[in-house]
Amino acid sequence: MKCSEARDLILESLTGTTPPDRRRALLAHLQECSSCRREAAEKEETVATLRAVPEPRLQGDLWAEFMVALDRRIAEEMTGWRWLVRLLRTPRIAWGAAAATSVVVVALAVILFVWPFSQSERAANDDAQADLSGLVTESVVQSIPSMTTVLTSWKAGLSAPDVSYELVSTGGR
Amino acid sequence: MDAEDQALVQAFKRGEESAFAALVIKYREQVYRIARRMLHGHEDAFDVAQEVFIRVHRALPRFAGRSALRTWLYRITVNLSLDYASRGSRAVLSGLEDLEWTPAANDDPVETAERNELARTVKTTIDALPPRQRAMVVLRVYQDLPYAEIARIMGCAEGTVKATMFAAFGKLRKALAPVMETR
Repeated sequence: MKCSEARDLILESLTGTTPPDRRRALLAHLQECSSCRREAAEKEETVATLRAVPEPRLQGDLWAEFMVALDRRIAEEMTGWRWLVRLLRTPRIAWGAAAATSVVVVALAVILFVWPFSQSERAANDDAQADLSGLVTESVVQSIPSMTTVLTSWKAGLSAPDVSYELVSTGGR
Repeated sequence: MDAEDQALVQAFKRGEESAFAALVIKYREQVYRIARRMLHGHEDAFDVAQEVFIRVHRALPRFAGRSALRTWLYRITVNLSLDYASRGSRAVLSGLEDLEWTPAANDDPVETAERNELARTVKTTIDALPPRQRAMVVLRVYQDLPYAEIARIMGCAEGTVKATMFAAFGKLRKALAPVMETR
């Protein structure tokens, strides 16, 4: 191991964890190199001094006070649209809202596009029926039986093969 | 990401506010301690810790989990602390009184005075470091974080963290030499 590499590793191993194989290599280097040993001792002393300062002693009710203050600030933040956005981001509510929105959209589409067309179509059909009923007058209705008789006799005449053309025409004269 | 953190984040995303409270309880002390080491004043550290969790509450629904929750939390803490420090916070204005730890009733007064003196020296020495060096020293020496995680928190390469730590320790060694000689 080179001295430059060892100096990097000294600080790393003094302030945290080092992989065992690298630590072994460092220790082997320190046994041989007095300069790096001195460097290691100085850094160890510096780290020890820094860590000699104890953690601040926290007041007993600090966290209760912290949670109350945090809850109050979050409650202040979660008003109006922020609350709505947060609510809509939760998956259960989001799916429900999506389903409700789909229903509303479909209903609006029916009201705006499908219903007016069906109404106008129905109105158009009614108009056509009214036009046809205008053609069927009373005289047309009365003439229907006589038209039936004429049609029956035409049908009978066309289906009579034994009546020759000559006889019919001679008799007619 | 830590399995417990992942479960809590997912629960919060499902709308369970109690999951957020659990996250706060889990991390509030570490967040507060980092802020306090960087700012030294209880009031500022308290404010920063509050602000950290407010921001987390705001952004957690969009948290994709690409980094560990702890890394993300510490990054917010460090950035806010650096921001507070650069704005000339109350700690800077109020002098060094707030650096002293509250002694317990049964503490020896002489020991307490010595400990406070040491604390004062160490803190003024750390305070004299440039902000990013200070943040890295706090994360490494007092939070025992690996270099790789410090690099992610600080948004730089691991090599930069090593080089910065090396430079910071050179300054700390020089500044603390008188204290170390008397110990």
